[in-house]
Amino acid sequence: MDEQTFPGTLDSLEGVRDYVARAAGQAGFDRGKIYNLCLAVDEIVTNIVLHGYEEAGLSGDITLRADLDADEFVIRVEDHGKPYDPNAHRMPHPDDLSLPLEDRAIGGLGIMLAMDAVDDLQYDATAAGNVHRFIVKLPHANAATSPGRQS
Amino acid sequence: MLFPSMEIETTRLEKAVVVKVAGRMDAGSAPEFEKACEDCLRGGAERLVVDLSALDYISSAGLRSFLLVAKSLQEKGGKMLLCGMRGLVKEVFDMTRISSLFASYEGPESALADL
Repeated sequence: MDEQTFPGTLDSLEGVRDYVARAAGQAGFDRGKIYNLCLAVDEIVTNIVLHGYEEAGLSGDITLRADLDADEFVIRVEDHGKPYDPNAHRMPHPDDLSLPLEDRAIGGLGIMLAMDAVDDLQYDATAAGNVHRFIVKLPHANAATSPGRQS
Repeated sequence: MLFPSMEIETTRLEKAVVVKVAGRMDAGSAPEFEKACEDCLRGGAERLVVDLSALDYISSAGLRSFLLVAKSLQEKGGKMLLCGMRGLVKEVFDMTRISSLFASYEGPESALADL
C-alpha cells in the first residue's frame, strides 16, 4: 500500500490505526488480528510521539508503509525522533502482572502489547531515521512449503 | 476499523458514581477519562462503577488511566468496579492481567447490587 505520512502528534493516532486497518484488511486478516495490529502500531507510535519527539524537544513526521508478499505482511514505521529500541525494553515479568493494585506498576505494558501482536518487531536506528518493522507471517507461508502439496 | 470518539457519561447514584465510557481510549483521549474520574473523586465519590459495554478500543495509555484512578481510590479507602467488559477490549484487560485487579460484573445493576 502507498506510504502515508502523519505529523508526529497524538492527534495522528486515529489516522495511523485507520491506515493499518485498511492495509491489514486488504491482506485478509480477521477482525481480531486487525485490532491487535492497530494496537501494536498505536503503542509504538504513541511512544515515538511522547518520548521520541515531545520529551526530547523534537518535532517531525511519522511515515507508514505496508507491504505484503507471499510470506509475510510488514508495516514499516519511520520517524526522526530520539532513537529507542523496543527490544531493549525491560518487559514486565509475569510475577509483576500478578501484583496487587497497590504494588502494580502503572506503565510498561505498551511494548508488551505491541510485541504480542506480531511475529517479529524489528528496529533500526539509522542516520536517515528510526525504522520499526512489524512483521506478521502469513499462515499459508508454511503450508506452501509442506511436502506433497498440489499446486 | 475506525473507532468512534470517546464519550463519557457520569451518573451519580446513592451507592456509587457510574462512569460509562464509549468509543476509543488511546493516549490522546485517556487523560479525559482520568479527569472525569478525578472530578468524581473530588466531588466525594468513593466508589466508581465503570461501564465498559460501549468501549470499542483501549491501548495501554487507557489501562494506565484505570490503574491511576484505581490507586487514588484505594488510597482514599474507595474502590473501582468494572462492568460490561467485552470482546477485544476484554482481551487486552485479560492479557495484561488488569482484569484480575477489579471485581467485574455483567452490567451496572449487578455491580451496584454488590455494594
